[in-house]
Amino acid sequence: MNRMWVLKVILLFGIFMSLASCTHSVHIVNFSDFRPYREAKTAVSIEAKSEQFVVLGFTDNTSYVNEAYQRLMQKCIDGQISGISTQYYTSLGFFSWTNHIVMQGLCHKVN
Amino acid sequence: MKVVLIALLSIYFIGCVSLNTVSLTSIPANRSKPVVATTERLMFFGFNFDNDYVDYLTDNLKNQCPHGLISGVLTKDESIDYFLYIVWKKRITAQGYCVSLKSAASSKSSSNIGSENPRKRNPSNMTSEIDSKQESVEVSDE
Repeated sequence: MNRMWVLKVILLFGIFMSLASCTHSVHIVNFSDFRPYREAKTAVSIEAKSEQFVVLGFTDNTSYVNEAYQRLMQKCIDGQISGISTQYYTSLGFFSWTNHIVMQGLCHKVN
Repeated sequence: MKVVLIALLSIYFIGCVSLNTVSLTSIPANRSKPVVATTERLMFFGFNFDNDYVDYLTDNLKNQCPHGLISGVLTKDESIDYFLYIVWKKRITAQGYCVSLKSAASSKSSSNIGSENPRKRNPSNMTSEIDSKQESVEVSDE
């Protein structure tokens, strides 16, 4: 009887934790430098995003980070990107969550 | 109920990867020479007596670009769980682009990379005379 009770408590706790949805948790925000110094008016603000939907923790890669990296570079093919802010956060859902990567930077076109 | 409980616990028996940190430095315009380095360490019960494996990453990147500047470095720190976090691995991956110092120097005053008169540091992170004197310098890309 006691054993069943313990199992029930563990199960309910697990379900309760999984139901905590609609939460956005920022894990890390990172900034790169702004050099070489250029006039701000010559720079164009660019942004790249990617995400990974994870159900019950099953995932075997973090390639979505590389996707965001590639997308950012594609938006500034012949230019230098500086002042890059990298945000990594997770949006929690029902027995699942979504990992997000957002990269924003300034594209300086080379003359 | 037992089945559900076992199903939930079984998640922890499967090798899953999670991202701990990610960072990115400024990306150069010249991306013709990519460099990649990875280092990892397998751990049992979390026992780890040093973090020297991280230094290997720096050395590896340096060796791939001995006379250049590495920029646009994407660094990922991942944890790979093999079994209940009794056996797990830390993996750090860094990838970026090697830019020759020659081209960086040709852009000379852009930054003080390779210059004989390096820019003075301003730890206060405030605009000072140092900055006001040097901001007028024409900047070009490496």
